[in-house]
Amino acid sequence: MAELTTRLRITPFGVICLVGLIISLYLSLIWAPRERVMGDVQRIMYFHVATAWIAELAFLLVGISSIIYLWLRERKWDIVAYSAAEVGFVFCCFVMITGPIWGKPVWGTWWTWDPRLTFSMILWLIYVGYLMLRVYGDDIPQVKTFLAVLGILGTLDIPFIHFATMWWRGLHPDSLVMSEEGLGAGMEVDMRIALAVSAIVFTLFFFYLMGRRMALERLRDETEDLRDRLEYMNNDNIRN
Amino acid sequence: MRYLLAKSWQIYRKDMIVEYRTRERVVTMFVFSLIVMVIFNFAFNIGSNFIERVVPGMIWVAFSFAGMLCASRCFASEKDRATFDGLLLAPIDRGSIFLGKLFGNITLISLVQLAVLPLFIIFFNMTIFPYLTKLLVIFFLGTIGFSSIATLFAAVAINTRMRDVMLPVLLLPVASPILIALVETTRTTFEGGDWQDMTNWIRLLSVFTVVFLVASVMLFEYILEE
Repeated sequence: MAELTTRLRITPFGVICLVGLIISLYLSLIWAPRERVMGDVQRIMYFHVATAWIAELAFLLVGISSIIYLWLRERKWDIVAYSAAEVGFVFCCFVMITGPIWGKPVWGTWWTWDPRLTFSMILWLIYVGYLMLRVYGDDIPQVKTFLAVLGILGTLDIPFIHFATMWWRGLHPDSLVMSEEGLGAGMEVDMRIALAVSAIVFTLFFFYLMGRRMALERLRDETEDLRDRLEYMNNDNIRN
Repeated sequence: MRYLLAKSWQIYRKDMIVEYRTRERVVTMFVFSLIVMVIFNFAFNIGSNFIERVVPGMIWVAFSFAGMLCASRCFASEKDRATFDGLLLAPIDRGSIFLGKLFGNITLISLVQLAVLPLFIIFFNMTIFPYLTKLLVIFFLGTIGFSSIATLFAAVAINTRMRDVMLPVLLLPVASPILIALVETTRTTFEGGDWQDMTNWIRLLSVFTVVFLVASVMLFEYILEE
């Protein structure tokens, strides 16, 4: 029991993340200069871009740990893949929510089938499929293998989706204006610093959440194990 | 390799004989594609100047859904008749089971395409003869690429509780690049475009097909183990 409580105590890493998030909030909401054309709504970019990068990173993690899982067959790699997928999905949802909030005032539309948006949408759907299989397949014994296969195929698919969505819309010149996100050369130094800090902090935060999710999954395994043992003992008593 | 192909030929032959006797997959796919064609006609209310832009999308929606039916049935029928365990017990490589099933799916989907595509052409009053070679290449690459992941995912979905729902949910997002490429190349072809207009897409189709074919053969082994 003592073991369980130590695992759920506040960790130094968690404190670092919290402080980092507060600093990042300050930098992006107050410190960074106001964008001339878009106004304050542009500030959502600091979170949007930072989380978008994590949504992709997380699926890469799913793919890598899936390969290792198929190779070594150790439960911990399945836990890594699952936790990365679940937390990555939350970040991906965040991207899908912040995008339209920014897009409505700037582009005048909630959604447009621009390459990046289409890419995020397809990535989001792959996440959904992965998590659905996890939830609805819990009664089949080989589900972890299936998920690993899906994770690998999904990761292999990412470059293809990237190119397909880019060429699909990239040929139309008017979409170039739409995909202009106020990034790159036109960005002031302060903005770049705010974005970099935000990206780093969110990455740390992602790994923190993932660690907590993995701990939770391990606790579940432990509970399951204890329950099984209890049942076994009860059966033993009945027999005696 | 030779051994693998010889064994997969046996699986393929068996499946084709079963199909020849029941004709369940080809007929359902054919009727399904026709229905998609009719329904989409209402959905878009197509005027003559839009046809080249809309029909490629309709064609590939029809064929990808028909392809899913086909892939799903190739394992479902084995499961329902309890012959799947027999297949697993057979002293052959798991990869050859996959290849046999895959060749079967490619054959049947191609047959349906051969039957349905002319109907699309007739009903939407289009011309096909100048584009025949291009379409042949596009359909060949696309059908192999799509079928390989469809067959793999069908083997996964067949084990889940809601197998009919799980297949499209898992397959279509992963297949989206190839579907985009197929629609775009077919559209370019019908609009009279040349090979140069779709170099990128043909490359994407070929690389996707090779990568996912190899990945599917390698991963299928893991899916079948108990």
